[in-house]
Amino acid sequence: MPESDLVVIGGGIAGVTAALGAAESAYSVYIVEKNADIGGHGARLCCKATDACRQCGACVVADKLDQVRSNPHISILTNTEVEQVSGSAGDFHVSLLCRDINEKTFLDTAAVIVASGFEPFDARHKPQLGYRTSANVVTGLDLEEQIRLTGSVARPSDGRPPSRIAFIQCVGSRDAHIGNDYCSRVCCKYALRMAGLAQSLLPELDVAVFYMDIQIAGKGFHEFYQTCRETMRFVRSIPVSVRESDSEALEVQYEDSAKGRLVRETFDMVVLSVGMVPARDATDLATILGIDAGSCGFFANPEPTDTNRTAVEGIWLAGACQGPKDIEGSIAHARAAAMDAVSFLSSRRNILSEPLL
Amino acid sequence: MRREPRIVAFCCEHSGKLAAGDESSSAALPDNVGIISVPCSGSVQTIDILGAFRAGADGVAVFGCHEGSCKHVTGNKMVKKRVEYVARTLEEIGWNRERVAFFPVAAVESKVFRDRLAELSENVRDRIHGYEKCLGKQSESAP
Amino acid sequence: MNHYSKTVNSGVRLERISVNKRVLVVGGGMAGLETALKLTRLGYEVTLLETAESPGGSILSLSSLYGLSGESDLLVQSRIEAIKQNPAVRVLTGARLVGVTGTVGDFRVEIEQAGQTIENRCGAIVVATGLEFGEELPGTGSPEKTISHKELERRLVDLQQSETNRSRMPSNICLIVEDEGVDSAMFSASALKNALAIKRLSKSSVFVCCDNVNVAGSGLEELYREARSEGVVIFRLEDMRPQVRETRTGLAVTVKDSSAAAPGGWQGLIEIECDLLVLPERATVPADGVSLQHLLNVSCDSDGWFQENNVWAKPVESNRRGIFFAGGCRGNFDVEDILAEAKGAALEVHNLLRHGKRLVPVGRVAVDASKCAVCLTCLRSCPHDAIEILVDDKGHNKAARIIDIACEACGICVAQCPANAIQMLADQFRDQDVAVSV
Repeated sequence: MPESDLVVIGGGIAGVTAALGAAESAYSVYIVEKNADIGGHGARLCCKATDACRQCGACVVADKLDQVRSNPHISILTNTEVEQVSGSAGDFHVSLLCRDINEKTFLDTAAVIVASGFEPFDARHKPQLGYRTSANVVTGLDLEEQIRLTGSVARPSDGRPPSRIAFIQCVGSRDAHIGNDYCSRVCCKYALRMAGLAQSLLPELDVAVFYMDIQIAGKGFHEFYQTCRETMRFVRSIPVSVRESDSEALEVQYEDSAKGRLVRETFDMVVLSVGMVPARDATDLATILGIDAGSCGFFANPEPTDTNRTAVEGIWLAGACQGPKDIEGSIAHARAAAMDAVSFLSSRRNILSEPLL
Repeated sequence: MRREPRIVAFCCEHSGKLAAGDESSSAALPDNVGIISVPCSGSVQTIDILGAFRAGADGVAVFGCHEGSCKHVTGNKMVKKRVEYVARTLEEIGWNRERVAFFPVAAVESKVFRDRLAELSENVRDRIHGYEKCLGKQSESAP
Repeated sequence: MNHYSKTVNSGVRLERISVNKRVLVVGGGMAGLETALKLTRLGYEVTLLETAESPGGSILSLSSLYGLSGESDLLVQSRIEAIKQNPAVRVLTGARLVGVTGTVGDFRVEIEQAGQTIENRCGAIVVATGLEFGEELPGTGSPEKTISHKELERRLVDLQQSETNRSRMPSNICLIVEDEGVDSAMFSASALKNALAIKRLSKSSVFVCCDNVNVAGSGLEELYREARSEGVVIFRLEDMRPQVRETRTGLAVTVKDSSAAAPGGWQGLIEIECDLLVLPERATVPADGVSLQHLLNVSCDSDGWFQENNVWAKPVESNRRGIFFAGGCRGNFDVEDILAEAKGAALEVHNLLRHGKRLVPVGRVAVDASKCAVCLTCLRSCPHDAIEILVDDKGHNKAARIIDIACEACGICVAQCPANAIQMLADQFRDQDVAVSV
């Protein structure tokens, strides 16, 4: 039975960061990824630099994926799911299912890091916003992929560039009605960066941002936010509906508080800033591992000051599976989880392997 | 027969090299482009760029990180100045300054990378054909 | 085939270099304490420097922590206790860093404590100097009626401890939080949790005026909901800065919140009468932070916080190998993030020092001393402070030398040297690369 020091469940940015953190100390790591390739959602993002880098982290994802693929201490198992975990810290037995060949396999490991990530909120659950019913209503992730693949912003219906674009924030977040009573943290930043990029690609573009509260935390972000306030229109109101009119224009209906009534505004493209929700198999994974699935499905910690720890010794959390995080936050959280794992592993084994460069 | 312009692209390993992709990348690079990967765009010297022209390149691109994301902080700023110096030098000797350019690119900007190379090739293509037609010959590198 | 990568392997040898296993942690607040504790668990010895007479840092000035059920006191006190009982940590209070020379693996530091200079050697440095709140208020209003958020925290501690003070709480309290220059959820979240605390301890009316309610952190959306459900009134500032004027009885704050607007022309201008106005103060790097930046020769961002605003550096790296940043000194003051950064810094140190022996590639970049005019161009160009000047017995400059253990092999010095005196081993491939690629 193959042995490793650490098994990382999930090969997204958090998983690969945690794996690299342990591999630097020369521990042997397996990354178990259920999809056909590692990278997760972070690998779908586009670069948002205009005249300068916007620190979105998309390039860091690419760089870390490159590093992890060539690291001799890290083995990557794709199309593989965790079926069962037994044993205890220092001696876990992990049963895996390789989905493409439908074969079971096993791994022995001393420690486990859970980096199973998140899912973007499915905007179809808010049908009044027109996702999938109107071609020119897209999500933030759709726009990221479009820009990454084509280098430009275009309306899906006719391929033409938009002239009036609306970004609608908090889609699926801060929404008690659908049970997501939390802020997804990443959407304000990604929307503003993309809006800024769109304006730089299309200088005549009219941008409106519909929001509740803009989340501007983060090194240097407030400066960028100030420049956005000068070039974009900010409306503190979340639209109630987006409807396609006969001429393929999109009518956004929202409450104008100054007028005290609902108004309609026309755009030719609408971007829904969807939030982060737990992965659909998160509760199953929690059961398999014996950890707390948390009240909303983001894995919980026994005490609030240590966001990596779980109820099971030897198992730590890294990244968005513990709660919404951007790339920078996921990397920081994953490095912290790697430290916990390395600390545990080094206390078990006093023999030091060859240090890497 | 018209030949394709020979382009040499110096690529920073954190940005350009990843954007170029590996050999198995589905969006293969055209054969007329040669990639030289460097640890930082700031390590590309003026003499390297001129050397590339002397060795037969028709156009030289330097790909580095966007402003503010150079892993070595100031590398991209330094090489931009050198590229500008080379461009002015080319002008002084009667060449087209658009034959050399610095392009900021991120590791994930595979499309942008290819677009910039195509733009550079276009800028250069007419020049070499014009000169060669004038000389009545081909195969020599031309202003 | 298009690709010609530089291989730096041939001619480069690996040497096992002894490095100092001791770590210097500058700053004894949450970040510094946590980093020190995690390092000792990994087997390192730590010197912890704190300028104040006792450790704890700015978290001690908070009456409570938002979003977490723990008491801020306990969080810090438990760590201070653990440090005191840990023989692997040497705590120097009333001490500051006054000199740093050397390089990763062999830093020589000078510490000033009670008028004496102490010399110390360490392999890595973690900067955890935190932040300071300026007491300057933008204000109008008399000092009895206008206080800072920090002062409010002090009064809340009093209020929590003594029942008698509660009846003397002003009846109408207005808190203002402004976005400018704020990089974390802390300010608006602190205002909300303080507003909620006031509501629970007294009968006062409480108003909070802010640009945006920052809810991007654990438990903050709940805090926002609880504050409102318990009667805290929250207004947004929108495009107008709050106007403050003195009245006969106290102060009047005018804000514009369009959600309070009504058809027929009322623009949503609201005047809040209050007896106590709480104004924001700016958070800044501590006063000796500026000189610390120059002492360490590290980059800061445009707001003056440690660490350049660069994706590659985050979370904890600096431009110099062996020097790391953790916590508030980076400009982010959210406790969860601070603790994660402390762990991250501990891991970086461990992967760097590896218990005293580090494998270093030697000779990737090398200076030909015979060509070196000691013009110092390379020294000034190196972003990683990895070049030193060799000096002869008489103290004359001889030549520049690359410090292999700190060198990142970026090649910038090679490109900058006017005499072509520096070679990167891969250089010999360059002409060949170019010819073949063309």
